[in-house]
Amino acid sequence: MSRTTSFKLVLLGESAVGKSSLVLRFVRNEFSDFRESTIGAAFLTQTVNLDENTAIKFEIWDTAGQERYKSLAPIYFRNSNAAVIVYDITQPPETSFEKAKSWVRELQRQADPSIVIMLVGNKADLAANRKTPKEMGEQYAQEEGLLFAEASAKSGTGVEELFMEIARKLPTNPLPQRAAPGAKGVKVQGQGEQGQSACTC
Amino acid sequence: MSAPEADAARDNAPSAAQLALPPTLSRATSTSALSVVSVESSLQSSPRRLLSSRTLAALPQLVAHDGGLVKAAEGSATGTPSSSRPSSLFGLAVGGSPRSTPSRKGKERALPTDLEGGEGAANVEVGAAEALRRMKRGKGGISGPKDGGPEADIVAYDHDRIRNTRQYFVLTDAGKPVFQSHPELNENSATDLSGVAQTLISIFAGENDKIRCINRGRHRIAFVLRSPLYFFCVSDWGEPEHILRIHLDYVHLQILSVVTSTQLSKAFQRRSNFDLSRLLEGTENFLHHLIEGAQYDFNFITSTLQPLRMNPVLREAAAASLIPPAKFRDLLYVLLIADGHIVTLLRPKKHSIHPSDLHLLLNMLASSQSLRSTETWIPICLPKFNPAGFVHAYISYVSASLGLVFVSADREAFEELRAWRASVVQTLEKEKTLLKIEQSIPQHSYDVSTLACPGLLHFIYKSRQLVQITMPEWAEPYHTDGQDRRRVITMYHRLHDAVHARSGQSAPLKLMYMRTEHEAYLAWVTRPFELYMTLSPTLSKSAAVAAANTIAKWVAAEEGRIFLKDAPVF
Ligand SMILES: Nc1nc2c(ncn2[C@@H]2O[C@H](COP(=O)(O)OP(=O)(O)O)[C@@H](O)[C@H]2O)c(=O)[nH]1
Ligand SMILES: [Mg+2]
Repeated sequence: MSRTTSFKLVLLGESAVGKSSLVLRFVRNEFSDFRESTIGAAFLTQTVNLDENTAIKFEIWDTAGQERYKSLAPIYFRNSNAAVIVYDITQPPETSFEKAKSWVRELQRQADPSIVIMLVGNKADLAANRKTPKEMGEQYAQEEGLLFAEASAKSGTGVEELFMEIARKLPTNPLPQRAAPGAKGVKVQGQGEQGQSACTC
Repeated sequence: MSAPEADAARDNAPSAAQLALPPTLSRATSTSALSVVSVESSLQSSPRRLLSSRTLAALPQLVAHDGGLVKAAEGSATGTPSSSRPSSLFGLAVGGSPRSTPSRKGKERALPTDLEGGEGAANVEVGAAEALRRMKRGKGGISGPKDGGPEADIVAYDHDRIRNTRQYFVLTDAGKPVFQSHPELNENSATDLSGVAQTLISIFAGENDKIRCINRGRHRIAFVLRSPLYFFCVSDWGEPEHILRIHLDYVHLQILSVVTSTQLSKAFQRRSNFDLSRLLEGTENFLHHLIEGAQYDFNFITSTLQPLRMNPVLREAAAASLIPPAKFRDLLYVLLIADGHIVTLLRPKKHSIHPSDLHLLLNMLASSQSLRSTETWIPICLPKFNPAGFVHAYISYVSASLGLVFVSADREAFEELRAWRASVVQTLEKEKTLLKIEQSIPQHSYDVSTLACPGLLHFIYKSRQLVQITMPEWAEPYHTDGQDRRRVITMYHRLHDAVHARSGQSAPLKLMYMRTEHEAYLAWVTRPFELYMTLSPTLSKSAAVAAANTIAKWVAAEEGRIFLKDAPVF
């Protein structure tokens, strides 16, 4: 019998970069070229198996990313164990990539310091129209200690993999809910395999 | 009061003063015979009142005279309809329109060529371009929009393909376009049109006045000013001005539901030419859906709901499963929705809910498909509850057509509401309540033939006490949203306007009968209800009266299924 641990994950990024599309590809293996923009935040769950004995249940907040909800964002990321910050590689870096960086800074200031952050350049199927170079994302992620991937919600390339990579970085028992004050945004590096007290479902 | 009203009722001549129809309207509908009967509330003491049957004594009844004239008799009417309104029932605040500040009325007026004077007089037949020209002549100091020829712009509305499409515009008080309902129908850019509107508005504002309406030929342009936003609508339907203003008020409320009044004023304080469309991003759909719904609407106009027609026992069972645990301190409203209709609605003792807030909530649910497939936590501003801040709605569909909505003032309440939802659904499923409600959905709508009333084509019945309406499906030839339905709903709007004296008519009416070559119409206002009917034009007046009484009786018998009554409070 495998042991399931629940983790909270939040998707952030400018609107229309493909956050909802990535989640729906991951959760339901669906994609639509005509996606309604998200209002408020949608809540979805998906369970993945890490190995025969360990399952990870993602409780996902797909946020709207619109400016008017900016002040509400902490509701979603404050208790999150992981964050996927998305930008659109077909846009010039000063737009959605810049916005992604500002989300990273916001998380470094306000989120739990142990939060796992994954930076994702989406719409990789449109690489022919690429405006933000892959190296730019890679380099920034390295400097800030983030995970990084390019993906395409449309083709599905890289989607499952990015969530699996996050799953592997998460400790197999839930993190403490509140950060110790003053702890700074050091990224998760080789979390110990502790795994007592996880819930068996 | 005494005889004069009864005399007026006997006089079959059209009464322009009571109808207050702009001259263009009679042309548009080619009225062949227009007879108006007005009966004021004093008729309760009429000696002709016939209330013979004891069982019917509680029910208002219409009585036909030998001469074909119609009188209203009411069991125990005291006071005029408008003064006997209950202030709140099962938590629905009562109010005619969603306007928050009726006191402003006195300060708003129509163009200066106003014929009748006084606050009620709104209709002026002046071309917009002509009006603009006159005003510019009169006030040399005021300049038009930068890039020339504002006169030419409004003339563009005469184009054929845009006939019968009402167009709605939102702009900032600095003249920047925010929203336009039908950009594809305009040769002129939103920027040009907003420029013209802003010029007109500011000419009046310079005199500490507010423009309300311009009538030009078949067209009417209504304005609503809610700084920092201005709203206007162009229509050629022939509806009374207040109808358009209610639509515009709703557009305003819809915007507030997305961007609170606090956020709005902050944004515009920082920059007067702020681009609001950015803040509205992703919700344009809500505005389009709201406007579409407003076209043949009677709910917005009357501030009423139309719940799912269903077995009241089933409704009660659903409500019982939805009574929240006492620990949810900040829970405001609990709703179960079936196919866009309210099944039940629970609220805390201390808060009522205004119908317009509910309309915004229902409009949001109806405009978004994606809400059906995930659980959602949405900040929404319910302007009648609090225009300055968000409340939070937990929305989750239990099936394609059944949705649960929990509204809380606590933005952190998602987890506990989600957990509660699971137990609610369990209870509802155990008793097969969900399934039974699902099965009621196809029974919701009914045909006018259900009432077995020959010559009755359509009606709208409003329970004044419950603030709810019921009406049959639009049957042929009204089943498509073409000119026939447009004519009927516009007549309803005009009857509504006339009986409530919304356009400055001297007094509200209790009864009004009109006949055109297409249909005959009857409006009847009593203390418990308002009834608007469409009848075959060949139907005699006594048959029309019989139909009215039949509807009243039918509704009285069906009331438990049609209306939402005694919803629990917590
Ligand atoms: N070509 C392409 N289009 C995408 C991809 N992901 C999303 N889109 C499209 O981008 C638009 C915005 O996507 P959405 O998921 O709503 O973005 P969100 O606002 O960040 O949630 C939609 O029209 C999607 O169909 C992708 O990987 N490739
Ligand atoms: Mg989205």
